[in-house]
Amino acid sequence: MIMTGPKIKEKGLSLKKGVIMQVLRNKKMWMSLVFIAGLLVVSFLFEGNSGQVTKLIWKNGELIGSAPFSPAQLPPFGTDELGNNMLDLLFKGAKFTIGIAVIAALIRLVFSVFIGVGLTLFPKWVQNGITRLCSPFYYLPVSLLTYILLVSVLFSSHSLEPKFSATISQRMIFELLLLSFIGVPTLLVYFKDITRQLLVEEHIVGSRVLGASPIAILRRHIWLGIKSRVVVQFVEQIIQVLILLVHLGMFQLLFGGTIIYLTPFDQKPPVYFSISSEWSGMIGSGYHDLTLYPWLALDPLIAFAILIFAFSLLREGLKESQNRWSTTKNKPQARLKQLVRISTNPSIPPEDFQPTQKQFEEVG
Amino acid sequence: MRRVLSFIGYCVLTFIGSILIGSLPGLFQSIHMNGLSYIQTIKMVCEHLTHPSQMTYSINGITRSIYPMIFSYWSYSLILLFCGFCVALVIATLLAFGTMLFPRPVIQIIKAVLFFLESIPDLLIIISIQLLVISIYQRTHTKLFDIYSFSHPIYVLPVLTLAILPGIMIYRMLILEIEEQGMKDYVDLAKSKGLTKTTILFRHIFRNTLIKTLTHAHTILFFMLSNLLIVEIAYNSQGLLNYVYENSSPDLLTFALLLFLIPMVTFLTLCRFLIKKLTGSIEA
Repeated sequence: MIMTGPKIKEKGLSLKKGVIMQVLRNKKMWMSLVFIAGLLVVSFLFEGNSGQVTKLIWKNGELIGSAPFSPAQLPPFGTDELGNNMLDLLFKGAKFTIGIAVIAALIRLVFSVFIGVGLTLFPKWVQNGITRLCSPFYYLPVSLLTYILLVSVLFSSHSLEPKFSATISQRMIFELLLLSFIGVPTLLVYFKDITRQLLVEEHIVGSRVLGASPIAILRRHIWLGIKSRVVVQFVEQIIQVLILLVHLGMFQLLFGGTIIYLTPFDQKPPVYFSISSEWSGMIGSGYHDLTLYPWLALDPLIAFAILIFAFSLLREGLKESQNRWSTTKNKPQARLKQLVRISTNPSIPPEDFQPTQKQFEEVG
Repeated sequence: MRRVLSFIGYCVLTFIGSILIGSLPGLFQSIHMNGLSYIQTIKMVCEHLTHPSQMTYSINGITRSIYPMIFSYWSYSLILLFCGFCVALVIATLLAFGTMLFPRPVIQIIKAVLFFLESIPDLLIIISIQLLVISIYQRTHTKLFDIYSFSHPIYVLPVLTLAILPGIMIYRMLILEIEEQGMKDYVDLAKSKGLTKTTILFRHIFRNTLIKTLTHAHTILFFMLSNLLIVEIAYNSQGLLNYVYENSSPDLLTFALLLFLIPMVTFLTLCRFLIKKLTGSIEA
């Protein structure tokens, strides 16, 4: 004679409902996903083919211009100093930029979820202590700290032959790990706080009373509770890494290393070259002649803006679809109001808890 | 007594955390982690923090003490940060309440536009403004603002630039908050009493919404700090973040971190105190 209440629906993305259906139902979600996937596909197709190079433009047998061309001369985005079409370069670099952001966000999440949730097993003073130790991270711009940590690794020494202190693959892995771990402390505190809020909820307290071990609670209940937030945070962290990459590009710290050519004979400023064709590298190498050829830095920046917009659209879409499934099909606010009214008026039981005919039979 | 002790404990831990973070550059030698040099760096930072006259920086091979210049850099950064915050808050509040007087479809369009504007990187906005001022100067020969500081500090344009993105953020936050407040029971009551829409909006919703915005003050300030770095570097300002960017030594980093942490924590604590006084509870 066990009273079986109505099964509580899982929050967030549940496989039973079909992830694909959820994506299709939400316009924001599929539009952003199609855009990002399309960008990646085009980017991978561009691998061997660097596009056509326009170094000089002739008109009626007369030379009217040489590279770099402005977007007005050679639409839509102009060319760089070597005559490469900027649009080709942007497509070529997209896969690296998106790849770096996704991998770094993934590492950030894996570590901060495990550490943050695991931290709740420790006594409260340990948790508070670690929160306090991490708190100065908020008061220093992340890009500044990343710059200071990376500058010795990524800049080549000032000479005609570029010399780095590490090989290219080492530098790339180091930068990727640094981009990841620099975000862990604040994210860890976020997940720890959420877990602590969940731990005082009724169903979890009940399960503890019935004798569930702390580990079992973390595995069974907490994961269900934070799953939807992990997905949203994943997209959020991708955006954060992209912004960090924009800043590093401005600091001339280009992914994989910056080659600095100093021109020793005339008083020209140093020239920066990127090793990979990734977008923040394009910002960095275009930033120094901003007033002469503004499109060199503006094109990748606009590309970044569009990509960040696509990811924030995805984040909003995820949030919307989660609200839809975790409460009811009504608007959340209206639903909340209804619940509040019911709970303040004890004579009307909430409709969810009205036992059905079947349950009456089971109780006997 | 217990509360005072735990407060002191928090301060000490935050201080230790700052030193640990500030000394991080010592942890990496090239790409290799070196625990021993990290401990040495921590020692050095502690020593320099207790004997501040030892902190130096060097330009063109000349080594100078960071005093008293660092305080002028510091005050400049703080002025930018808090002026930017106030400008963003005031303009966003005016715009948001102005927006609410429009019909619903217009508000929806404004919300969508704001959502797009929010995803623009700060660097793009700064560069566009600089290029805009230059092109206005080229066309009309009127210099609206100084866009680059060589000797004397510039204020107007950096503050405006710094305020744009947080302003958009607060603007959108306020519109969402006003809409949420509009569904609450006290608004229903006010409507049933026959108050006009503008009275409800400006007298009742306004107060509650502003308090809600102050609860998000920390998010906005942290976001602004990251913008401040870019603004200072782009305008070549004599600010503390730009200074640390150019002379990146662990002791200077720690000192700058503490210099930013103390006023910001004080400000945020004041905000929380104010909210508690006004509403009687701490939310968020």
